[in-house]
Amino acid sequence: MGHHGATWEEIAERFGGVSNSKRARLTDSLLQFRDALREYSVSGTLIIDGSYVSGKESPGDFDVLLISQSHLQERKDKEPSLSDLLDAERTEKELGFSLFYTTDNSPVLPMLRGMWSVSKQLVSKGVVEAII
Amino acid sequence: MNDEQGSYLETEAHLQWALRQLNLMETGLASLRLELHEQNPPLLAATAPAYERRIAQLQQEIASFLYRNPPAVSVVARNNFGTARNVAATSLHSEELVTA
Repeated sequence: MGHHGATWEEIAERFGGVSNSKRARLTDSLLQFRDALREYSVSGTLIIDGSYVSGKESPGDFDVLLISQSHLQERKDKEPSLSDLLDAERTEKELGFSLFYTTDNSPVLPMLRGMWSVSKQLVSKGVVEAII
Repeated sequence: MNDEQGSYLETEAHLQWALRQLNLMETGLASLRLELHEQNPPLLAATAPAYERRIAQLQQEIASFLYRNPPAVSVVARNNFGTARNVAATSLHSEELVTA
């Protein structure tokens, strides 16, 4: 229950699934997304919720909350643009997860962090938190 | 909604959860708009739709549940009064701070 800090190696090992599985594809998507964020020097945390971090063999949609600095800078030498990279529709269609973004100094951050740790049955549940 | 949460509300507990999620999503979006509106409009345009879509989904599910379970409207009313009391308390506190 609660937020579990994890390294990307731990995430890949625990949730990566067997090769060519849906889990493996989602893990690749997540790692690609993380790498792209690093290329833009975006630092912060990703909170991952939903069936990807559950025991489900074939996970479906899941949520990712990106907590990062508010002064994100575009880089003209990069394609896609940072806004395209963080585009909510693109991440859902191409990467398979719903991306929510909030700044690390947002006054509502504590509230949002807690949002995914309560299940529909109003009981506490676990989410995974990884540093970009 | 992600598939672990499921999109179908069946009980009053689910309704409570959905109302809470809706409140958090709306507050999150309002904060994002405030922070990025002038500072980074393209980033706001890219990231706000995730909140907007989830808000619309939750509103639809809540409306659908209330249509199927009219007595549950009272749950929403109680929830609203709770929020209104908190807002009133916060405003009062702010006024006290201003006048102090």
